[in-house]
Amino acid sequence: MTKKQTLILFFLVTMFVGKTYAQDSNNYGESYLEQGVYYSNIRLPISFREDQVEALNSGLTFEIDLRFSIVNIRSWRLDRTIGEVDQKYLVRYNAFTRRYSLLNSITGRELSSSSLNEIELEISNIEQLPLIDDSLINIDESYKVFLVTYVRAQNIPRWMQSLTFWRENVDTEMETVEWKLFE
Amino acid sequence: MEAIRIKSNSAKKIIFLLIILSISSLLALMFAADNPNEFNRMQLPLLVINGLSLLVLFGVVTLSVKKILMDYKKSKLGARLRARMALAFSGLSVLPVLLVFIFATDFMNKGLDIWFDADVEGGLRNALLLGRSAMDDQEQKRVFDTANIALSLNGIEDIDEQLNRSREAISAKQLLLLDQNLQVIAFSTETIGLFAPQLPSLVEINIAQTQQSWSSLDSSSSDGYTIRVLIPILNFASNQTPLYLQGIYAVDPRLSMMADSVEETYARYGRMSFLKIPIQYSYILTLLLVVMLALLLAIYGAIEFADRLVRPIEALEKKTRSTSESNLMFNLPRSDSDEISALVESFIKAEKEAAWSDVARRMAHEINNPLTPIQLSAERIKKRYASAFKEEELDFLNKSTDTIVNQVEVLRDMVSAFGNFAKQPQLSFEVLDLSQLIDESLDFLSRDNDLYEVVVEHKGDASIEADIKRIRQVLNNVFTNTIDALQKENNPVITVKTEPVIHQSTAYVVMEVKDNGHGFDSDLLDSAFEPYTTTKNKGTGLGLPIVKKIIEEHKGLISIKNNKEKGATLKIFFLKKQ
Repeated sequence: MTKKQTLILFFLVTMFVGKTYAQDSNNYGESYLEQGVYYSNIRLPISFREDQVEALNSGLTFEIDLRFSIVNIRSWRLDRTIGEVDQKYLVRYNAFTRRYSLLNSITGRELSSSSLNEIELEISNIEQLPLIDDSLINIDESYKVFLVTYVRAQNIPRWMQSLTFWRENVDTEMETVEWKLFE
Repeated sequence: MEAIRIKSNSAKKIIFLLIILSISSLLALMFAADNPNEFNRMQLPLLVINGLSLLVLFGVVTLSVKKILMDYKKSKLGARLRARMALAFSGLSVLPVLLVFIFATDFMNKGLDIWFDADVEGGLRNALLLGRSAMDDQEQKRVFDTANIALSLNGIEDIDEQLNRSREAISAKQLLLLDQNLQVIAFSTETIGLFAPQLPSLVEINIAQTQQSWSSLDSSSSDGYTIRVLIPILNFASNQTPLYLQGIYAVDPRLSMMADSVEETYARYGRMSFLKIPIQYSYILTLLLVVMLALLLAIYGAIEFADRLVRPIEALEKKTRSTSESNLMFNLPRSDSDEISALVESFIKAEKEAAWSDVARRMAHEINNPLTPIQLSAERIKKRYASAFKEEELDFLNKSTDTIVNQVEVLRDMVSAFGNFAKQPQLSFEVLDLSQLIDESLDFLSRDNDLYEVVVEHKGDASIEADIKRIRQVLNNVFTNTIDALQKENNPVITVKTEPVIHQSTAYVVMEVKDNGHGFDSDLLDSAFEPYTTTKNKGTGLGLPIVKKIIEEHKGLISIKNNKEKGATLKIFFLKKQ
């Protein structure tokens, strides 16, 4: 096999592996227009890792930050972000009640459960989330919604966070989910 | 050779500023640690400042050490001494700093271990369980209350009314009747206005169905601690789907507050326990930063200090070498004013004086010997040929022989001056009246020359303990010099003052001789007391050196300076008692 052939094979394998990974992902998002507002339904299977559960049960509060960006996709020019929406949740464990609580920092809605799975399920399925007003959208152009999700432990000094190279970092940034605002 | 030195003042200032900045930031870090939020905010920038200072200092120290090592390898002048001194001083600081670091780290780790002692954790857990058991009683009571209401609902048509009455009777926050699909049938709440009932989950419904009741202690940021109970309603109506009654009850506020406190403490302890390792590392890293800064500062200081100490010694070595190459008239750089520099300067002066004394002694000996035969020969020639020569030739002979005799006298005076300079003192101390000696000396000199004005002012007791002959010599030399300096002045004035003074806890009589002559050239002023320094056309250049020598023999002090307006002032401090 020549060097050129090896390189082509390498690229093909890389592309194939990347596509398989994306296909395996259970992340999903869709948007729809209703009464002049674009809403989104998102399925984002959020699951705390073992060390995160340990941290949660130790008394650390976790913030789940969902950052939506509505981006105008333009040909031959740089894409333009036309709107951003933040959805933040706080998850903590109360050792006294032995229950986990989930607080939506934006709406103030609170949910408690003895099962962490139930909390995870609640955040994993977000429905009817208002994203952007229709008046800001030009129907002739193309738009995409990008969702980046961060899971961060709170009340850890920044410097201590920077020291986490000594041990595994309890913070995670989830894979970006993207979908078209409309077809 | 010089160790790496920061050439420009601005670079030195930057290093100094960084040092100050890093010390300040470390202090700020220390104080900010008391306030976690402030600490969190300030930590990173402060650490960046410290890291930057550390890097700059590390670079400077590395370059200095490299330079010292290179000079050492090349066996440059003073390199060995500088390297040894820098190593010694650095060693003196490095060892204690390292020891402090090791012990501080150990104590800190032990302190943290004690802090996270298992007994503390056990105690906190027990407090939590104790609190929970207190809550359990209330929870059981509320299960009983809710079950009673569920029973009372059987066969009642106006359920809403019954729920309201029951809720008020048992002080419930909310009573809710719902089916297994979470459809609300009826509810009663103490909250006025729009209210979204808090629904149970399907899991909770299932548990209530199988176990005939479900209850839980719950907490929320708005309501504090609450008890939630779910009871299935049996035989409500045989043809209907099963129904469930949910009751929500507030916990006694006092209990709620205590539970909150216990839970918060437990959670805080849990957080700290979870973060124990990062906390440990962060403290060690801060300590390491401080230690590294201290260490580098100490090494930098040691190198600088060694350099300052070695520089005058180095200069001495250089000058000694140049002396051996017959360059006797050297001057040390006067940049440093520490003891080592003073010592080196004194040493060089002593060396110079010794050299001059030796030269003077040899000259006196070598020149003096042929002078007598020359003088005698000239006189003999004059005597023998006086009768044989005619008047005109005799006149020439007389003039020539007289010149020889006169010049021999001049040479003899010069030899005498050299002899005096080289002479080892054999002093005979007695109590003298300095003012009287001054007056006598001035009287004697004014007999030959009365063209100048003399102003004399004696204040207080001027008695000193000294060798009278040597002091007379001092006065003669000083006044002769002063008179010579006034030769070309129109209105020459000499002012002589004496008065007793205490200088550095020692009693002196100070003599001040001031003139309005031409003063000293600025380049000659510093070396006025060195041999062969003279502004006169004639003279040995030994007048003032001899004066200084005698004053030093008498443990006195001497100084000379140009007056602001005109002329010069010479001050001599005569020790009152030897």
